Amino acid sequence: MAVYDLEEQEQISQLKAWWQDNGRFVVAVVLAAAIGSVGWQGYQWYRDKQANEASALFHLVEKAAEGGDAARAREAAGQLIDRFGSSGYAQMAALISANIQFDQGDRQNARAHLEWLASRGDDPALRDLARLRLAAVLLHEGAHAQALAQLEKAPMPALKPRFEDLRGDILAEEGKSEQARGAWQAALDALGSSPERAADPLHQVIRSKLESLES
Amino acid sequence: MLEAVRSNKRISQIILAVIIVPFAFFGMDAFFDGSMNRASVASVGGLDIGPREFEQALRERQEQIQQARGGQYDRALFESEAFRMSVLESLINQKTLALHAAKNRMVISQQQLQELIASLPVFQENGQFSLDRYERLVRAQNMTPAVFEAQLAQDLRIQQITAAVGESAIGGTLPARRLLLAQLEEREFRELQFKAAPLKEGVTLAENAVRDYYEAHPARFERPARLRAEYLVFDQKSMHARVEVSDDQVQQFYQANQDRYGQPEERRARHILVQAAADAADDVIEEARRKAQEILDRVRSDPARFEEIARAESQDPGSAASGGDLGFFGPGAMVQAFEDAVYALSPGQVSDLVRTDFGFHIIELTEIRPPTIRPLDEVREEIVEELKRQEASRLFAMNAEKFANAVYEQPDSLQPAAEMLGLEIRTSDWIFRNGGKIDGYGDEKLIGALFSEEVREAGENTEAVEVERGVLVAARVAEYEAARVLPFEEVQPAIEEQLRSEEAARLARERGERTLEALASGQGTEGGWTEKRKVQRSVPTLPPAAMQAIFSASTANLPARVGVVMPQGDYVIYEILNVERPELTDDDPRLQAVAQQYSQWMADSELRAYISALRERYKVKVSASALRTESQ
Repeated sequence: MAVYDLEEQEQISQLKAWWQDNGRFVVAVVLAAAIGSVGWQGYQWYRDKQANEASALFHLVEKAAEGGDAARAREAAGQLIDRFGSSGYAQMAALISANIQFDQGDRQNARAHLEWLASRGDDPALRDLARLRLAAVLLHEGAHAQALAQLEKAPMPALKPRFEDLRGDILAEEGKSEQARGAWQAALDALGSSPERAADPLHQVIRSKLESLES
Repeated sequence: MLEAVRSNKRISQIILAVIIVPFAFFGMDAFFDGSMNRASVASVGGLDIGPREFEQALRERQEQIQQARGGQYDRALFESEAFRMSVLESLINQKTLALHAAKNRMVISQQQLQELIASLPVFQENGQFSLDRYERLVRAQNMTPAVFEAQLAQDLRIQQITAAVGESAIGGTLPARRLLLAQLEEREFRELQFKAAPLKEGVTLAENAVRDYYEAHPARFERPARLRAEYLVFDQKSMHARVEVSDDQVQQFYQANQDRYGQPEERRARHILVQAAADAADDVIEEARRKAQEILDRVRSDPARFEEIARAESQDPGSAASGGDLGFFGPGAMVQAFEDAVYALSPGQVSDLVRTDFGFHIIELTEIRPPTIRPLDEVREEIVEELKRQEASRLFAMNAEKFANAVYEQPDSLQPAAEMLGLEIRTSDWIFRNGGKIDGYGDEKLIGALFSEEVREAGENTEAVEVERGVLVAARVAEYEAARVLPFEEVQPAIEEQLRSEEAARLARERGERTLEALASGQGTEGGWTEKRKVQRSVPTLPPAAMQAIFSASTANLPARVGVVMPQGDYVIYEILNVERPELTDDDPRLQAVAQQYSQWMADSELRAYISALRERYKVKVSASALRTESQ
């Protein structure tokens, strides 16, 4: 022990004492960090794998929709929603599939996709969009009250013109001209009146509908 | 290269949709953020868009526009704030979508990429995907295939989002039907005009009205300073005429550049490959060599069966199916060992085993296409032009500094510089400080210099300004007129005319409005109504103000009347007598078309809304200085 001078010996014993007191804790922290790191890596790997599978399913939906195959689009979108419901791809697939179901006359399944997205989707903007489109499907089913109910809660500001526009469509269909006018006017107000806004097709569409509405 | 891909219809539509997103829901104030890092143009989710990236985007869009318009475009457009704004907007939208894709772990599989690339006509030869062509085109854009594919994947991810949101709107036939009915609606009307022009004669203006107006609106009669400039344009073209090209030079150039006027020899070969990577284990290589030797023996014993054997045995997936045929290729297309072997063969001859990094090849040379050369007479013009251009360019480079020095050192006149280089001094028309152009160049530095004190007052030359790459302009003021208020006598008739017209229009309107009131209270008019006519909402046969008034009038009680002030000052009362709403059956073919268009409009609008939501989510910031042009 003569190798160390007194001061050093003291340091060593301090160190030992410290290790006595805190050794377990240090080991635990290092271990936890190691496990955490491996776990994180594994989790990332797992998420990548999930993303790849979701991507492949989404590609199927895209292709089926392009080819007009509503049944395959519905099936692939359904799988995507079941297995990777929180992924962006599932939400996008719901939009695409709902569109083709609707176009081919299957309103019930179009509604199912949109209902899922409106209530369970992760992306708040897409939830608003789903409510809007759901209301459009309901309008064509003649379920006016339900359609209006979907539009009740205010959407993100950017979608307000479309919400009011569709509300106008529904009210006009119900024969409530005065209220329809009010909705369409609100849509125009929300769009704003700058020159480039006035050239927007949406603006002209709404104005035409508003002006030609029979009282 | 990406342009070529984007010219694919669907993709280009979507890119367009992304690009053309106007200021939907952002006020300018919210848009700009003074606190931003000055070096960056904008930031998306904390990621900066640097000035270099922005400049490149600007250049790309300029090139697109130039290409689309075949050189017919206004250079001022590219300097405008609106142009920079639209490019920046689209860049931000793309960044936002790319970020969103990354956050959502969107991935494009290798297979998906390959399918897409193989399906693009640009990369095809004779209707087949050509790897060679693909790599060549990609490298011609200074990209490696890996970089290109990464960019393409990025584009595809963006496209997936925009397509999912922007092509899936539920428009439906009910609202579309309503729109179509509105478009087809006709209103029957007659009109009563109150012309302003005939009333002008009767107008008496107050004594001092004209002078009062003149004094009350001095700014309207002010003409800004203007000048006429003398100038010299020095560019390559101006040197062109001074260059002589001799026959000898043409001959020499032709000899020295044979490869430019002909196709080098090309050879066609087929091969059989037995794979063995360069770094494979020895026994694997040995095994491959034995197998290759065995195949070679079979080929040698019956050369006519080369194709058949290649089909059965070759491990080159690209060529096995075509009997090993590789088509024609020139020097440099194949790996060195392979090429050497091919060039050592004569047609019909089969090589020994050839070792490359791919493995062992058995090669047969099948055809030689001899080099071709275009005769001198055919290319003489081209060569003369080329030599002239080269020489003019050399002369230009050599003399650019002399030109600049001459106009600088002898600031009192452009004559010395003109004589030295054989240039012509020209004189411009009157130009103003704003929007003035010299020889078509509205260069800010040049025009600014002309109107600056030292040039204008001291009567000096401007320095030589590079207004465009390879074009120098120097100018001086030939004639100058300061800003001045035009004298009363000069503008008096115009003011008088204007005041008379305004008063006549006021009178016309007054009469019209009185008549409109009278009609409303049930009195008749003295007549003057036109015949009844019909007008359709979607077919504007009347001036916009009239269309708007007629179709926005409430038709609850007919006849309905509206008064309209026309642009030239006339006042017109339109009396709507009848509204004709068309009948529409469910199978009307127009309904289908309108429904589609309607859905697309709604989808565009919804996509814009979605992108603006994402921009808010990812905290897009734009630097206020981004839109200013550099020259200011």
